Amino acid sequence: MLPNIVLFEGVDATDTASLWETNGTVGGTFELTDVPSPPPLITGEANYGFVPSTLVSLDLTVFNNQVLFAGRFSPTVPLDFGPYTLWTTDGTATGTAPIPLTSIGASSGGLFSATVTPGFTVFGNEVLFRGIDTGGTAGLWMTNGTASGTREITGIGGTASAGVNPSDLTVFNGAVLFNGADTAGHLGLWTTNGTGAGTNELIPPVGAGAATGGLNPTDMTVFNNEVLFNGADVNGLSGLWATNGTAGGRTSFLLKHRAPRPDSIPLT
Amino acid sequence: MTVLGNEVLFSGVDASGLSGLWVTNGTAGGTHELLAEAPGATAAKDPLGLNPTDFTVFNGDVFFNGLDQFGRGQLWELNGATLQPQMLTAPGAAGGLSPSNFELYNGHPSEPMAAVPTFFFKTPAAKPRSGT
Repeated sequence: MLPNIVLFEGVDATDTASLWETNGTVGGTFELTDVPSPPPLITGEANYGFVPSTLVSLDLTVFNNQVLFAGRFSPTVPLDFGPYTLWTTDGTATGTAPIPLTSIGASSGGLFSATVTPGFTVFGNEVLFRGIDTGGTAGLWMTNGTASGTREITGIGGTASAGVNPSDLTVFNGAVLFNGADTAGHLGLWTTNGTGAGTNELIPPVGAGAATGGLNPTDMTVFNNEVLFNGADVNGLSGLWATNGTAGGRTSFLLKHRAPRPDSIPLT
Repeated sequence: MTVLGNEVLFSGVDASGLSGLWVTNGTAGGTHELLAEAPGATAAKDPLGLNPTDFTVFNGDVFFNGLDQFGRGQLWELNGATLQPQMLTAPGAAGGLSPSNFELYNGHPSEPMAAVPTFFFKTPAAKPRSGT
């Protein structure tokens, strides 16, 4: 949401999934376009729109008086389905533009996939997200909203060969916690300060009861100087966990765990 | 999970296998289920339970999408003071309202909505062909 307007993704009468705007009135609700004879509706947009997929969203994220989002674009001639890249908009069609893949070291197949939402997370003066590089690796990226300020965070140790594949990014206590993949391919709890050296996995102490196949934290929520999340225990059961963001802290403290139903989220 | 004052709301599965509305204060003793399913629900018509999603705090209360006794998504409100949930939209003959993607909106000072803070949400009828 920008001041006084709300941006959202919607499908028009031509089945184009594009960017819409509303101020809460019928007259103030319209599809953004700067092209006389669509498709595309916005210069650089793919013919079928930004999001011809049922699995991802634009991930619209307010940042520094603009909105970042993931959308398909046409890097050369107008394409029906182009690769996904990072877009920025000021809420107008002419103020909506893609960041070229080649300028940031992203995969030619797209900075984002058609199945995973980037998870844009504002962190200080930048935004963290999941991106795919030229090697096809799903890593941790940062942007300040410009092409020159968009890059992959390199030098992260202990990640899976396919990349740390971050998800559930959550700002907490001067860092960002996220779900990431380690060298064994296990999904665990990670922390980053926005640098490669400052990114590492928070491994629960032995005996804490975490699943050997990975804690797989999801739905992380900041609450009273801790982060609550859904995590897997040693029996593979989901439970309510809490962490203070350090490996030696309360991480791996299982608040509650219920055994009877192995398919349940714990809490009894 | 959604923070509401000194507690956190979330969807959790209880001993009956129902996905209900839960609350926690961050301790085991302070974690319990508020509502497992809509009043009058049966396993035949609503096997999931309340199955709350899309929690949105608004004016001290929480709005969310939850299943009615027929297993259809409806707009619910949780009173922030009493923690009592109630269904706001009536079960219809067809599919439920199934609201999602709530977005708070305060409007422009010069516009009629300015004095009435409100929020938008998406329903199945407005569901895009692709995307969310």
